[in-house]
Amino acid sequence: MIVADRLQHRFGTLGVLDDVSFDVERGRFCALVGPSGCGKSTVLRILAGLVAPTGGRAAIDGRSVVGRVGQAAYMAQRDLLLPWRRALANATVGAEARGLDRHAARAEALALFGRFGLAGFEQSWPHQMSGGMRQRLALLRTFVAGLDVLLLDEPFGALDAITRRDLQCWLDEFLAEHDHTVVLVTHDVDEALLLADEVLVLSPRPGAVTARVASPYPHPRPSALVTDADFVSRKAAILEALGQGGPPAG
Amino acid sequence: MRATLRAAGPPALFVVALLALWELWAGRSTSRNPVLPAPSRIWRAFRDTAPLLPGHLRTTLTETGLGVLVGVSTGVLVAIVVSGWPLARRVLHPLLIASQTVPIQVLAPLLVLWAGFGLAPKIVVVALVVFFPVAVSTAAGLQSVDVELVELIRCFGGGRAVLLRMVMIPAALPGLFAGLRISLTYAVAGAVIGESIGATSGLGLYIARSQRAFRYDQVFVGVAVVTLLSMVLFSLVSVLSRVLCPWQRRTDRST
Repeated sequence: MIVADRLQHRFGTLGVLDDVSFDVERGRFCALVGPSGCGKSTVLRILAGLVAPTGGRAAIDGRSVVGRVGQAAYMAQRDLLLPWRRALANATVGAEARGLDRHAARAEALALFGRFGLAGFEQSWPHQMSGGMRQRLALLRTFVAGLDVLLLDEPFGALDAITRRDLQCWLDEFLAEHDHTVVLVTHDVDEALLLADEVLVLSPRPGAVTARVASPYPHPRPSALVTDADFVSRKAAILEALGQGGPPAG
Repeated sequence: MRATLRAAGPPALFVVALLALWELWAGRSTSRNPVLPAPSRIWRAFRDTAPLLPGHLRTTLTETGLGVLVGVSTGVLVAIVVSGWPLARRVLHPLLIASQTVPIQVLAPLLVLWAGFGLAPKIVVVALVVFFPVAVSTAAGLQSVDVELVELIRCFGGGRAVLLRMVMIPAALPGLFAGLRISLTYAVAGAVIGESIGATSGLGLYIARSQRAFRYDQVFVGVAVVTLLSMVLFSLVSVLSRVLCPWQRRTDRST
């Protein structure tokens, strides 16, 4: 499980995070929403071990993440595929960087290509693939890394609305069959409610948790859920929390 | 096949046309003007001195090859140092520029004086012209590495060795080859200049001797062999670059 306890962070004199606490139980999905620049990406980077917080503590399965990489699979908004590797070789980058057996990772990735809608593209170069495919490949790389904790930083942020909705439903289906613990950072309230079990709303900088909204629907969820009355009222609660204490996100 | 013909046809035709014009123009005035011999006379000179050429060619090729090897290794080393340590960049930058401002024609006699008539001074000259473009474009490749890519590898737990293998080397390769392609055209010329100043064998020596004997037809033979050698080496590097950097072929041709 993931524990973030009174996380604080400053870049020089700029306070980015101010008292962020939350837990994510094993196998649960938590989404962080908030206005631009509220420090939600910094939370993920702290959990990934890339940034040491200036205050508070964070741990995954009881082990502190401060200065310790390799406990969670992190995926940034950009797909960050290596241009000099074909799709299949890109899928094993995370596993290889962790020092796992390359052939086993290859076999595992190969088995998942169809599930990720990438069958037939194993030997393609990244520049030959569409944005949606590249993003799926980046997700595939994240899964093949073989870590139980996934940290997703706006994984669909760079995609068009239709592709994004497709990928959200597909990811929800995929995760329903697995047992990952996930933290997702997003601007998209629908995305947060559609995928997560709990949505945390962060205030503008310096970020603090201002609301917690549960999303108690069983997985996998139908895409029509977004028009459900209960879903809409939860969405309204999140939007209201986002509206507090500052100008709208821009 | 048709694509090759279409690519190679126009330049080949152009060269043939130039040679024909040259033959027509120089052919009439050859008796009076031996400074510009006609292609047919150059061809005769080639056949007459052909037995001499392989030995000279071998010498020049050895010097160029070893010089390129030394130059590329030095260039890559300098690129790694310069892109890894900002202080090194500030210290080395003026020296690197200065090393390129001394004309080879000035430097070569000094090197011959210091290192004798053997291979060594020519290897130094070739290495000197090769290392700079290689260092500059390899450093550019290394410095253009996406910080987020480095972070991605790092957050999966990849250390320096993994980073080098998965990110740094592939990122630097295209730049290295770009620099090598530029410098190769000067590399053979560097060896030839070195040889023309003091040598016991080599195409530069062949050209210098022919010049002193006023055999300008033979000078042109030497020039032609040097040109061909440069072009062969250039294509070799292009092929090598395409084999080692397959992702660089952005457009996949269907034919």
